[in-house]
Amino acid sequence: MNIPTIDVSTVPGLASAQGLFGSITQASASYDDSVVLVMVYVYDVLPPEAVG
Amino acid sequence: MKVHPAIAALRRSPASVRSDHADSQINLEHVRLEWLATDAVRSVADDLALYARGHSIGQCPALRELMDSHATASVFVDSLCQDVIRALSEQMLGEAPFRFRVSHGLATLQLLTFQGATLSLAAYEPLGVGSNPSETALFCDRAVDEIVIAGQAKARHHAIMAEGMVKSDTIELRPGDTLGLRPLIEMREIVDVERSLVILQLTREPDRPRPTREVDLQTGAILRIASGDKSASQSVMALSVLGALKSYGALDVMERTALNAEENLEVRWEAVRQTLGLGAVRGVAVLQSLAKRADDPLRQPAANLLNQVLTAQPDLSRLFKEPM
Repeated sequence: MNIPTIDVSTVPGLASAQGLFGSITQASASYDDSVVLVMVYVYDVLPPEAVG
Repeated sequence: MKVHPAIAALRRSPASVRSDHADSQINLEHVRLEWLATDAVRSVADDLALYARGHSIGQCPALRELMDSHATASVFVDSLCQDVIRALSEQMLGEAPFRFRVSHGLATLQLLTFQGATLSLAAYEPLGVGSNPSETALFCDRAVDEIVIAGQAKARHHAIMAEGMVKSDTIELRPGDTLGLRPLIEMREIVDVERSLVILQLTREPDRPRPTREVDLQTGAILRIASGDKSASQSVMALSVLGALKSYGALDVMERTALNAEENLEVRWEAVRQTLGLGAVRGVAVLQSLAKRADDPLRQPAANLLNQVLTAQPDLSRLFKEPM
């Protein structure tokens, strides 16, 4: 007997399925402030020689 | 592609120049630490921790004073901005040492954060174009308190009423104005900025925020729903990536996640789906286990899916002796 497989794309979501976090924004709004998105700051504190 | 000469120099630069850059950034970091160490900021930070743990603003005197008094809020913000601006003016490539976000006409700096509570500074710039009134509004599971530091703008306040309709009011925001927005039923949108609007914003989110809803302002109908829980959405994404990569080593975690009644429902169901995809036999076993649980909200969806899978796959059906 073959080991059966199931294609994930055929498995339905929940009836109460919702979008991922941040997937809806207020399209008509003047400012995009409805969702607090990941806020990241990156700065190069170490000169490359000091790394590794 | 245009590259600023200062950036180009930095890219070409020997370590010594990069090191100068790093020193300037460290100076900015010092500015931040000095600001954090001032008495005014420490009292607010202590209160923010209390607020995050569930105290009301009224129980947090320093925070209440900050969010009520224009004079106090202005001094609080000025004490930071003046030093940061001075440090930035000395270092062209310096970055404000705070988490920040910049989008069209809006800049946000996250000043202090403790668990779900965050104090931010937001600046809305005039866009110079007329805007049409919004037809929908987003209601998030986030309590918001705001005080206008500077500027002037027209805004709208939307509140979901008891009968499900939305009440919308136009408001004019001026320095010293305060707003308090309850989670999921109130929101405000900035419509038209006349003079750059600077707002100090205090927000609080629960550990597991409930979904965000987009509501039609005319009818009150819910148009779309999205997760309000960022970490749950990250888990859903992680599960689907593991599934797509055929990470069989993750099957144990997927199975545990699917069966963990404490876990977010969307995350659990994604774990069910990916377990089925990676190992149909184990997935069916998970479905059977869920379908037998009396109080589990996944009981019915699992029973339905089990029925569907076993009907479509006679081989699987033969593996599981239990009649369905």
